Amino acid sequence: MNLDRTIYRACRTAAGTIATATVVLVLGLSGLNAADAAEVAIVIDDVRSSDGVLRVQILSATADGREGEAVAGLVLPPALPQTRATLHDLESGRYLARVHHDLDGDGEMATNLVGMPQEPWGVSNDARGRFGPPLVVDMIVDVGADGGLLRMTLVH
Amino acid sequence: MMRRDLLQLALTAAALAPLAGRVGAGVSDPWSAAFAAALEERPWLLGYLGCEDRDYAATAQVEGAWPAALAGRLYRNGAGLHEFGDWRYRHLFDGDGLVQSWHFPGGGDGGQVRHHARLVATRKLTRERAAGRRLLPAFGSLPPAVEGITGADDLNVANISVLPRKEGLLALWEAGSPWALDSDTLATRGPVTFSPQTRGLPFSAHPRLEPDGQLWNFGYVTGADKLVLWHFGADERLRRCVVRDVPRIGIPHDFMVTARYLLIVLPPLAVAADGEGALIDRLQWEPQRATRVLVIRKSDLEVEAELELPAQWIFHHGNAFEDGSGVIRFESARAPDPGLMTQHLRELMRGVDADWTAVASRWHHYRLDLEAGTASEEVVDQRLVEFPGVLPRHVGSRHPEVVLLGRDADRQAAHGGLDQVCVFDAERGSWSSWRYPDTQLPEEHLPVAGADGSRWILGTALDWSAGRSLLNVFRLDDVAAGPVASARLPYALPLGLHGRFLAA
Repeated sequence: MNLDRTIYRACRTAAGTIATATVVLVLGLSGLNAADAAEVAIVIDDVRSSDGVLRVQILSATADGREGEAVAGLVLPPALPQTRATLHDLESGRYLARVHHDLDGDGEMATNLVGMPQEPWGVSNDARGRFGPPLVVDMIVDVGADGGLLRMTLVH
Repeated sequence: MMRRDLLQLALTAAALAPLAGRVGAGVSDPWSAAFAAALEERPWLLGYLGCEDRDYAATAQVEGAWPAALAGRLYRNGAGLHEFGDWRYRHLFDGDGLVQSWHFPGGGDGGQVRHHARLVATRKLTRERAAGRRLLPAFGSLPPAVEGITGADDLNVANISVLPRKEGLLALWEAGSPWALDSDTLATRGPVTFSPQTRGLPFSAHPRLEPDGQLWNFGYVTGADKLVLWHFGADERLRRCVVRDVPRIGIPHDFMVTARYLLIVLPPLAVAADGEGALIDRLQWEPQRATRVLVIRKSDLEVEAELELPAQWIFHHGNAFEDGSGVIRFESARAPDPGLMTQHLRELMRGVDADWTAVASRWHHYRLDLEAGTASEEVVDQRLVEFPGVLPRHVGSRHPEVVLLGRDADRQAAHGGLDQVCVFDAERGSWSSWRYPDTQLPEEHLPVAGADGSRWILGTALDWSAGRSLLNVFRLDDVAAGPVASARLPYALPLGLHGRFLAA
């Protein structure tokens, strides 16, 4: 069945990007104009292991609902069963997020022989595909001047 | 109305009485209502009604002389739960796996046959039971308000076949993991992972077990055009699992082994990347393209040759072997196209009884000349056939005979299905068969060996007029004489797919 290809490609891409992210925003880092900046809560549910780290990637969404630039990467110590973080100073706009629980801490998404992820992963809005991958458009979250929420439940 | 018909009606009414409240329970679902109405007119549709969401257990009533040398279990699987949460599935292949054990531990010891059947508690069924309704899409059905998925095993219904292994009794689907059950109680344990690198890979429902105990299987990932090849040693440990890129792989259902090769036949059935509806709505038959035959070396699991045949659809192959002159021969049930699957087995779920003769499969011989790079085919007989099988000891080598279900092309059984158990003598090119009474719908019949090497056929059927499922035993060498013993259950089970015999 045509289920897996793009989900896994997306996750691998996210994992790869997160692993090599040069910008890791530390919580509370500031620097943008306070007027345009919002506070975004990141909530990761169903964290089942304290091993390794949670690697979160946040991307902007384009006006036509596609994936834009990576705007932030977070590396979080897992808290069970829910890991929370706050991202300050994100400009108002439309975003999506992915998380990879890097259980062995090697910076890579472990996959099986066809590229299906073998470590927990999640996407914003808990978007899910029907016979294929979750659509980017279903992952998009609006962040206004009063903030926003990027919520992801891990898939094991 | 003739007396016989009246009697039949009375029997049918009695048989169907316990179903009141189940048929058409989904009053708001038009397919459920249509099927219920059709069932009243054509009571043989009982075979497609579906089971209840419960366990079944009984001691079967044995008639005739059960062979003393035939002791063990026949395990079977098939789509069982067609209606759930006031909604009826739109395709015969969608129902959750109902695994059965027909247990005859003592051979002829009083002819005791015990039966039980349970639904496989996959992740999917477990979630849907908790919700009280269907939540997920299926191969041929899209229930209302479905939820999204995270991978193929979210949709796994473990409903095609079974394989007894050290991990337990494996209930097999074809696009995801095998699901392990307790081989005695049939209680569900969960998905099987053979190694960390192979977790979640597709494992088809037609693994080939060689006489020396080695097991081979394949799997397909349609959207990614990947072919997965599995090889297990006689100790049941995974020896090799490799993935090959195979463009336009489609959804091949079965494969074959020979002494040196694996054969994968790829009909030109494409799967569109996008589209509304269920997976079946994205299938595209492309008769202008060839059917490809991949000849894969067992030694390194690389493709040695890719040969072409005319466009055709094959669900099931009988067997393949190398004939000693550089030629591979195989036999399969070949249909002109997949119309049986894409149309008939869909419409059947709302009780439509269409003539499917035009899309039925017939027994064909194939010849692959590796040196010349050619493939050829020849029709063996005009009867309609399905569910071919050879004795386990002949898998991958020249087989003396094949057991199949059949139907004469010019005779329509009262129930619309296949009505004969046939033995094709491959050496003489001759057929022998026994026709079931029209009140019974036969399912797959398996050639099996008794403890003393004696040769038998084990096959189940549904007596729709009495509302009872049964297991028949035939002599492989005299199928025309009819069953030597029958074990009848006090209940009817839905018609299923494939099984395996495990000798005691």
